[in-house]
Amino acid sequence: MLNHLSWNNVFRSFAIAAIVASIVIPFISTSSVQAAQITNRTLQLIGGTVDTDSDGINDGGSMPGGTVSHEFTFDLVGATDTGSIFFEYCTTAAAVPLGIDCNLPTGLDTTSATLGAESGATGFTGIDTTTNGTVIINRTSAAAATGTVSYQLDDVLNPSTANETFFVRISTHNSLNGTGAEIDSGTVAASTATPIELTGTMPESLVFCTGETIGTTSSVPDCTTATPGTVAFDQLFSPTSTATATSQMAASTNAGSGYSITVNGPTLTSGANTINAMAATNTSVLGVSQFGMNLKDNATPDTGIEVAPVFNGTNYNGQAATDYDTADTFKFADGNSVANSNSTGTDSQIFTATYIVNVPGSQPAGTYTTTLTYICTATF
Amino acid sequence: MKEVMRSLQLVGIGIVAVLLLPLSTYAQTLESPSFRFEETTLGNGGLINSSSPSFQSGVSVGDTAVGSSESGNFQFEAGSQTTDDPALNFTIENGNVQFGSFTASGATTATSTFSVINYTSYNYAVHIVGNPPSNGAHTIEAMASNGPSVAGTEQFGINLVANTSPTSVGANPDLGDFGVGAAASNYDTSNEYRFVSGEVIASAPESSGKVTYTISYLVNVDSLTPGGQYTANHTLICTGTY
Repeated sequence: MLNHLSWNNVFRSFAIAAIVASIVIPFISTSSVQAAQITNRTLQLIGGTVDTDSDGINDGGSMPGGTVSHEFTFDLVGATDTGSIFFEYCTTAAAVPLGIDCNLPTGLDTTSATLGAESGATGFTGIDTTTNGTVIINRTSAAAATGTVSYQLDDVLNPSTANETFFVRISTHNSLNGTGAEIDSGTVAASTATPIELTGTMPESLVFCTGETIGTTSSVPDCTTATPGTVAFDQLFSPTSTATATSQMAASTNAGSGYSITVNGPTLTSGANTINAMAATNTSVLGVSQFGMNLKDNATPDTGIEVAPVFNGTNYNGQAATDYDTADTFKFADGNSVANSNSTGTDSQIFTATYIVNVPGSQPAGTYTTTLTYICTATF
Repeated sequence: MKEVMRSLQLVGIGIVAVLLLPLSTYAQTLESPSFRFEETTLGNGGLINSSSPSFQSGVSVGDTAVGSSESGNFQFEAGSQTTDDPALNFTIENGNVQFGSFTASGATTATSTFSVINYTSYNYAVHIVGNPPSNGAHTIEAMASNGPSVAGTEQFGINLVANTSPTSVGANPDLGDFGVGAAASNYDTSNEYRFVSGEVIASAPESSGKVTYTISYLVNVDSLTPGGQYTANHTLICTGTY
């Protein structure tokens, strides 16, 4: 009986203690850990000034392993004076129950971080980056800090894993070193992201053709209309008049450095007899052995056509080359450049090459011929 | 004997009371300037562990529906697995965009996709940072204002919706079951494209389950666009507010 009463007392005491504890302990524990929740908190990853992967583009804010800036913006609600703000980078938002409190995101490095722009509660000039993953900023003395604040940490090396979420636990403290009770606290999340790589190819283009004539289709030079064949002079060679002939060529390219067209071949020849090539630019002179050309609309003799469409410096950039670009002045030298596209791409244009022949009275009779080859070379 | 039973009942009540303590001490807050929500009663309700020396099981109950509720001033997540910790999952699902060959006679298009899960947030925004494709010193012209595809004119633009012109390309955001989000203004009109580095291309005004976005890329070139390989690297940045 005594044993029963004794056990009853024990049970009663234990039960009463348990009930009292259930009522009292919550208030005790709550009051000991309560820190105001930081609201409107965000972490923006801002591109840096470093080109880590040497692709010509500075590291984007979410680039894995990129050296970037982390801008924290949030609202403080605690009224207590604040001396320091603690930033802790972790792989989890909160401590893992019965596990490790904070795992450092792989590759993250905050040891070179510097404090950049700040707003709201300002005056944070000190920064402690001794421990990787932990950044403490502080000011010389605690002061009021409420409302919206923003702090940018520069030169932070992002976690190296692509598409990885990481968390930063933020807490404010009255102390100057991030220790002691938290005034306000909150966690933000951010994520690295695989860079999106865009690749496309613009095919290199060069369209070039020659012929006696070249027509157009819908006002665009059309090489399919080029007429092959021999170019005949308009008259028999004579010391009293100039014989002329023309041929045409069309060219277009998207080469970044444009094209150059050269003329290649010997002067007019008949057996052992030749007509002198005009090694230097000159006008047409009757009774003198001359074989020359240019790419202009000439008056003396009246022959030739300007390049069409004409050079405009935008999409039509083909033009006659030096020595072949003056009306009524002619020249012929094997290998000379006779046209170019002003070191850039150009839409198709038609050049008209004008040939002149003058002969002296002693020019041996015969049929004079030559084969000229035009070579268009584009530089991409 | 009755006194013993009564005492045992009191002990039982006491034990239950003590066991309930952890629920209240885990309380954390979800709040906005005008609202504060104690989440205790929403979380931790559905996980039941049973065990014997040779057997252990864990089941979750009560998850017939989860989701969010909100008004202009507050929001909360319902379901037995909720938490007020931020949870951001941002994934580039197809980051290798191949256009193939450009031609002045027609547009070239391509797509990439990314997804966002941003839980217990008040919003999120996705920015795009980068340059148009370039080849050496030549960069394809970015579309600084919204416009349609024009063949034969240099253009580089994107949007995040389904298009029918210049071809059927892209898709509207896939909100799944609990996703919230939309293409941002300027990137939400079918058949209109734009690209301005640093702009927001997608956003949501509240917490969101998985949303999959498809970026449609448009490239037009002209006949003088220099030949060669054009490349660009773009970075997407998702920023959540918690």
